[in-house]
Amino acid sequence: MSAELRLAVAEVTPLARDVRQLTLVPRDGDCLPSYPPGSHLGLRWRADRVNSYSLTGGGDVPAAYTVSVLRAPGSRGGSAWAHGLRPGDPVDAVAPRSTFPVAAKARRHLLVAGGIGITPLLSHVRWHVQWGADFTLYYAHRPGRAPHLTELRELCGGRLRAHESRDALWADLRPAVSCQPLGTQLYVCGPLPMIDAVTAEARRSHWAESRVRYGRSSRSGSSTTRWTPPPRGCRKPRRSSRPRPMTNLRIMSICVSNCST
Amino acid sequence: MADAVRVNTHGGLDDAALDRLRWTSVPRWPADPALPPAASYLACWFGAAGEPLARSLLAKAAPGVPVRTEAFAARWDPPSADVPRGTPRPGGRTGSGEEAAPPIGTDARLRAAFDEARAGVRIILAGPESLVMRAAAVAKRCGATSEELVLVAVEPAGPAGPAESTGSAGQVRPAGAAEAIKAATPPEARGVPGVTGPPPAAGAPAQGAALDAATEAARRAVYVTGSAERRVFCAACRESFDAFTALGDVVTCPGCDGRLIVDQRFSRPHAAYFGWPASPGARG
Repeated sequence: MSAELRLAVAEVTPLARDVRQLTLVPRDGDCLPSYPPGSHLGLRWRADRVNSYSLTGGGDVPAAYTVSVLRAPGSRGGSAWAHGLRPGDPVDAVAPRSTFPVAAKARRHLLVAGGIGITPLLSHVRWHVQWGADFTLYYAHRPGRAPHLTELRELCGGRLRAHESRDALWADLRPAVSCQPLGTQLYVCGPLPMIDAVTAEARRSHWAESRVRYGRSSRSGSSTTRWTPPPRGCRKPRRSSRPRPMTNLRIMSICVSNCST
Repeated sequence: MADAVRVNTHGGLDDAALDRLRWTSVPRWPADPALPPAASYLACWFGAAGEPLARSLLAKAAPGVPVRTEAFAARWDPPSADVPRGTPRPGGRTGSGEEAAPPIGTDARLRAAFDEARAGVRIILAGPESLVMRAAAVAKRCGATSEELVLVAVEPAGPAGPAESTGSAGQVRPAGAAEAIKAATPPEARGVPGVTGPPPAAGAPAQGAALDAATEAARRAVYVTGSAERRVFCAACRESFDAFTALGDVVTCPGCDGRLIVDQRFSRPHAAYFGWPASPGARG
């Protein structure tokens, strides 16, 4: 049972074309719950609708929540609502949930993000930087449309491998998948074809299934490859009901469906 | 409580004890270990008895998959100990065969091998249970998951009836010195005479094929419950030590001189059986 949070918009920052960062603070001056990296926040944009957005900040006693929202024209309206918010507007939210966590025991972390799928992995990167973990981030984005890229460059330095096309990412990433040291954890968040390609490559390289975490959408139904869902990264979608329960699939589906890469 | 642990002190297990054993953390050794597909294999065996097990598994590997092999003595060398020069090290296709073994302990040698392994590897560990489980703990600390480990214990020679087989305390256990219990399998089915087990499928109607297979695998599994080299974790002084003992027996902790019952609780990270004081409150 997640608690409802009464938040207000403190700041709206344009990050890239069609991407806005919302900074949300508690309306009543309460403390915000901490959250582990990879968590998402549910924003109630209609009485019966909650959209989940990955929290991009550090989750350790946060003073504010930050989420990055891509405007998706074909969506049901949640992202358009988020893009209409102005500083001071009240927002009701469902407390953060963690469905895409860092594998704490992994010796190394291989992060792969496509487009707006960078958002959960940004909080992963903060965590790895804080704890001195070994990681590399592969980030594919469209030219000139790379939310958080400047911040990532500062955080990651040489550990960021940003590419402006799918092919460039693939050429760089594909050889890397097969030569990671034992104990590497792979995380993928982005559009469905990218997730399919990366997980298929990991499977070809016989990665242990528990070493692959990814977000994918069941709604799109375009998946051609099947991978046994990892223990915590993916659950079966529930039957639609109202209000819709926020499964991790939903947050991942937002990552996927909103992704423009 | 004492009944639960005194299962094989005198050689045989009754049905109830076997049933209980299945619900403990005592390592369970599948009767037919499978070799999962992999991008490469790393096989480490302990002692001469481990090698054929590892080799027979590797024989099932797909052709062309790189294999690295590492041979270890049938004991756990401390960090400063020299690895005996005479130890056979039949290098695999990429094995480090001929060069002289560096003077490092088992732990460091295993770590070096695991550090060079890539994701997609499957690590075969074969040998006496205590060494295999210890090596598995090292592998886990090096980042391996259970899925990436294939553990095979040296199957002791067939348990020859209720009498304890020999194997003098203090020696490295030769193959066959320990008792193994073929849990719950009719002896005829395995061709092992003189082993008793509970009646087949006693009160266990399986629901579905997967459950069936899992149940069947559990029933055919092997547990090493008799006298064997074991690592025992002392609950009093929180150190592990090696002892030649059976489950349920009483051993003396070299650290605190306390008498410990070797319990059916096995810790994977410690690779040791839990030893709890035989007479609680009477320590010191």
